[in-house]
Amino acid sequence: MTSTVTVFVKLYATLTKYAGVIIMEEPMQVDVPEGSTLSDLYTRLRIPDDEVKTAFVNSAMQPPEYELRDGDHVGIFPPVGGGAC
Amino acid sequence: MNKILRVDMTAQTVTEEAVGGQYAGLGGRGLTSKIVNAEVPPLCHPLGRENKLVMAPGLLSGTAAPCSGRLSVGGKSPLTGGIKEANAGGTAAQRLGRLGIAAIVVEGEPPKGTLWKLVVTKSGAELLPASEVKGANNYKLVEKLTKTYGDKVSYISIGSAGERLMSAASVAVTDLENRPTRHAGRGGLGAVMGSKGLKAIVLDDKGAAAVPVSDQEAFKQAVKKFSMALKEHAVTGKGLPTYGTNILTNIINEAGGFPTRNFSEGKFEDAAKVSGEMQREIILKRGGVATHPCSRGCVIQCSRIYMDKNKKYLTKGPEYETVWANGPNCGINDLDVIARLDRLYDDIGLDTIEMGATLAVLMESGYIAFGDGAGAIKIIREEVGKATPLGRVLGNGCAVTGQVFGVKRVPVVKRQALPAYDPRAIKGIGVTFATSPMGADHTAGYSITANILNVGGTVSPLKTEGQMELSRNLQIATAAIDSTGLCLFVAFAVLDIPEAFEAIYEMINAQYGLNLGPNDVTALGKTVLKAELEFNAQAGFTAKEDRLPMFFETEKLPPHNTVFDVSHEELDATLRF
Repeated sequence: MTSTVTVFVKLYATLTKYAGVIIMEEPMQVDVPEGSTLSDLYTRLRIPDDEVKTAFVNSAMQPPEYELRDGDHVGIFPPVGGGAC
Repeated sequence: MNKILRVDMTAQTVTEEAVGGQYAGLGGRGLTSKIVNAEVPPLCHPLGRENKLVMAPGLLSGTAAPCSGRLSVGGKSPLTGGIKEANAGGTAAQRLGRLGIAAIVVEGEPPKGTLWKLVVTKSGAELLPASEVKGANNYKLVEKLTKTYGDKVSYISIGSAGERLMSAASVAVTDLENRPTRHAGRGGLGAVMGSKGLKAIVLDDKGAAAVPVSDQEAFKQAVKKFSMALKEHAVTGKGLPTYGTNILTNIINEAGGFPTRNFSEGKFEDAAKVSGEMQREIILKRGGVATHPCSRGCVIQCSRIYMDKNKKYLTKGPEYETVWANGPNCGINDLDVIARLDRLYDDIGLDTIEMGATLAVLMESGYIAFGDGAGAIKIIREEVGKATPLGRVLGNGCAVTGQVFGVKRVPVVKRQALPAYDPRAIKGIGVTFATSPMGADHTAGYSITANILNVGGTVSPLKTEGQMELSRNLQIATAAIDSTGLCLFVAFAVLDIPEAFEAIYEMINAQYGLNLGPNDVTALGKTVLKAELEFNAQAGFTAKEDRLPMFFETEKLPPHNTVFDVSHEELDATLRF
């Protein structure tokens, strides 16, 4: 029997459409099989790989091959940039 | 652009001179910094007759080059005591370009108590008394001047903060809707303008000829190439137009580098409430404009128009830095409060970053509580706006306020407040904050690109390796871009798309009949920085000014629990080239 891990996911900017919302104020809880990577999570959420630019897990930037752990907080971004006074 | 206007406030005369000698071929920041370094005694009082206020459009301003509407404003800063260049969008740079003016240099000191306006048309320029607008803030000022000069001109102006010589005073520039929403904010150049008794500049380019372009066809091709790159890149073509600069709130917060409650934490619990995504929804719901240019010929269009709850115009969409400084940095989670503060700052003529950082320091002192939005608005309107003794303290910025209120955590470098990135969690930007001749300034070398956004490569934000080189290269490139009149946001495309970089020097070559290559761009950036560093050294700056406040090296920042640990040796080597 495969066990699962539970992660908490927030999608940002143009990616929120894959959660069916305009703005995600609270993270959504997602159960994935143990051993799943960030890349697997994108597939599970039906986010095309080329739309993801950056992902943070518990505030640290992580590559698509990062293996998810129970309780991870994940933030997923498309290409963004800005900042001005 | 072939002439410099010299405005002598002592004699109230305006003279024209040809651009030549050491100023030939320069524009924007390159020209303001060269003039300040050559003509202003580094040890002078920034508000004295020896200082000069220099305004210069970029090399490409006034042409069809996309996003070429930045106006550089320079002088010796009353805030930092060093050289300063602050730039703004809006409509002024394009008009100066069309008028053939490479720079306006305001010099001397007017008779005490007098106030002036400079009116520039294609047939010349004259100084006129402006006592009728004494004490007016920017919105009322523009409204009054518009009755005389119309809305087909540009206004560069100061509000009451500039007249009162506050070190956080900005220089305002009108936007395409003839509103004073675009500011050269940093370093108190509005106070320098106030010290010259210059309330406003009116730029009327009616009847001016098109900017001469040496090779029209080559220019057209380069413009096309540049536009395509800006539209193709995901940040300049999609992210910024859709969400504006405030799209950064969520990602900087996720990265744990979002300074919260006066740099005491790296994540804000209510970031979503002040995010670019939320701002877009509010703007659209209230009938505002969510994708909008701040100057003619902008293809990025990150500006927006923000309505109040009654769907009436309140202000331009507050930018990311403004949102951060006056929101999370003050424990405030309400975009309407931030927008009202933004309107007050634009009106009174104040730097939104400096003032937000100042409010946070005031909150840390306990004078008002973190999160007290109504209190913050009241203090800016009633104290700073009316120049009470408390208002004068605050209007002179974060360092002064920290000193007066006995606060130990005062986030400044060279007495200028840090912008919206905590250098303990994003170390590359810390190198820029520490070493830029401008004082803490994110735009001087925007390491957020490689540290967080994965633009122009990737350098881990939490490690010390590679940060010095990243900051150095960006500071050099930025000094060059700031000389062209191009908005710095073109850099997102330039860093990733080789054709965008090529297009910049191809546009300049086609306009001026030159044959510049990539190495010339780097050389230009270095020349500009060297002039700035030379001025600062002669003004008394040493390596100890190139340091972050010590609390960044000793207080750990949650959630990463890291400190800023790029070595002092590396900081000292950053701009040694």
